[in-house]
Amino acid sequence: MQDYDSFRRSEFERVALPHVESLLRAALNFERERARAEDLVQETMLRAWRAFDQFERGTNCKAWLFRIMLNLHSKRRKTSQAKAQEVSLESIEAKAVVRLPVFRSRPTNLEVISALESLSAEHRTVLILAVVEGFTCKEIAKMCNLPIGTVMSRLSRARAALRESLGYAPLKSRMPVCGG
Amino acid sequence: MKMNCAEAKYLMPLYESGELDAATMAAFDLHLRQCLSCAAHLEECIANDALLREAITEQRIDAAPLLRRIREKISAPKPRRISFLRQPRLAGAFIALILLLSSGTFVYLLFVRSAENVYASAVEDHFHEVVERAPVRGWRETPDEIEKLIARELGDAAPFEKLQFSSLRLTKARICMLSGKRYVHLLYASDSREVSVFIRRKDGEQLPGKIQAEASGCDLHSMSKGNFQVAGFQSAAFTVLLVGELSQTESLRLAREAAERLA
Repeated sequence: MQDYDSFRRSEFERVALPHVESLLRAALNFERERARAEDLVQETMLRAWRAFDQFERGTNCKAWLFRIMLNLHSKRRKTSQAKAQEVSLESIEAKAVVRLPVFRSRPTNLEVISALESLSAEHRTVLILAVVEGFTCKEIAKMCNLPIGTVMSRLSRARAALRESLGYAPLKSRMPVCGG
Repeated sequence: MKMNCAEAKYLMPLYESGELDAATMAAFDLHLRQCLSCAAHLEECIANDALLREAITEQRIDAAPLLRRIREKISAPKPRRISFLRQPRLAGAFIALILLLSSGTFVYLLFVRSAENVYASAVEDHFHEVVERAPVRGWRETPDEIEKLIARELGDAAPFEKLQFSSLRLTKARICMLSGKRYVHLLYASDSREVSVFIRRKDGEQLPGKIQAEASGCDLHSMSKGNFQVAGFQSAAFTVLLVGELSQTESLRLAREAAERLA
């Protein structure tokens, strides 16, 4: 029995623990406070550890861990008071949208982070998962329990919102449309 | 395959993540070569993605203390097993309790949650296909085509004639899946609003939730999700759900009208 426990622990260290940094980076964008983000990741990893026997070897462990974290985060938001003020339908934009001045040159990293923070929680989540972590729309749909079409449209709107927060004019006003 | 701007815009996230099949990818590439606007849009998305990726990944985050804590937790010895389970009577009672609870959960999941999911799924479908105008295929838009679709799917063309509302006109119909079951999605519209009606031949499913009213022997249920209201009922032959940005009173009025006509 001791041998199996050691084997299980070493497998977990090899397969799951390397993703802690990615999880923490994403959690910092979901929770915004370092302590809450670390708590979220720690709880995610402990749940993953307890359920590690159910993880199918050879499948995408990072996606499995993110799915656990998103479920946990979603449950926490539902039970916290903050949810009542922050949430909601994806159509609701973030309340305090910080409009940056129109950029004539490349925005700094700090400006990009500020623009990201001004987006709604749903938009931040899909951008982090798709753009930073490189998950496919199909994987995100599975993680978030959403239809893939919803993920696609949410991602398009999130990109548009980020572009606008970065101070770019909406594309429609700048580009001729081909009429197709 | 020719692609227009709306389709290209809709498929852009899949293009960027490399999830398009070869034929769609080729059509997308062809469209980009012919449309400056879409090509510029994509280029800007890619550039902004790169900015975001760089900004996030260059943030210094020290995960070492957290990793240490996690390692300590998973290395801690397991808690001792509950000793009372070794006593046969207590263990028997415990197992009986677990069985009772799990059978209750099973019934709840089978009859309540699955149907609640149908409501949620109907709202998602309406939002995606009607509100967001996702370019999905398969809409039938002429009365003849709609009638044939209804007759084929429901084994009876009567709902085509019967499901007429005083304030709305039927504009199009297609097949859709809600919680793994096929429904005919009928879209009704007036000048100011759109209402989706999902109908299938009844197949043992039950609609959950509080009964809000009754019409022609059918119980009328309703549920709200965000801005949307869902009303549902089951006639002798059909399960019907109505979804729209409506008040509860208005959605129940439409459900009552439909139930009376289908009864």
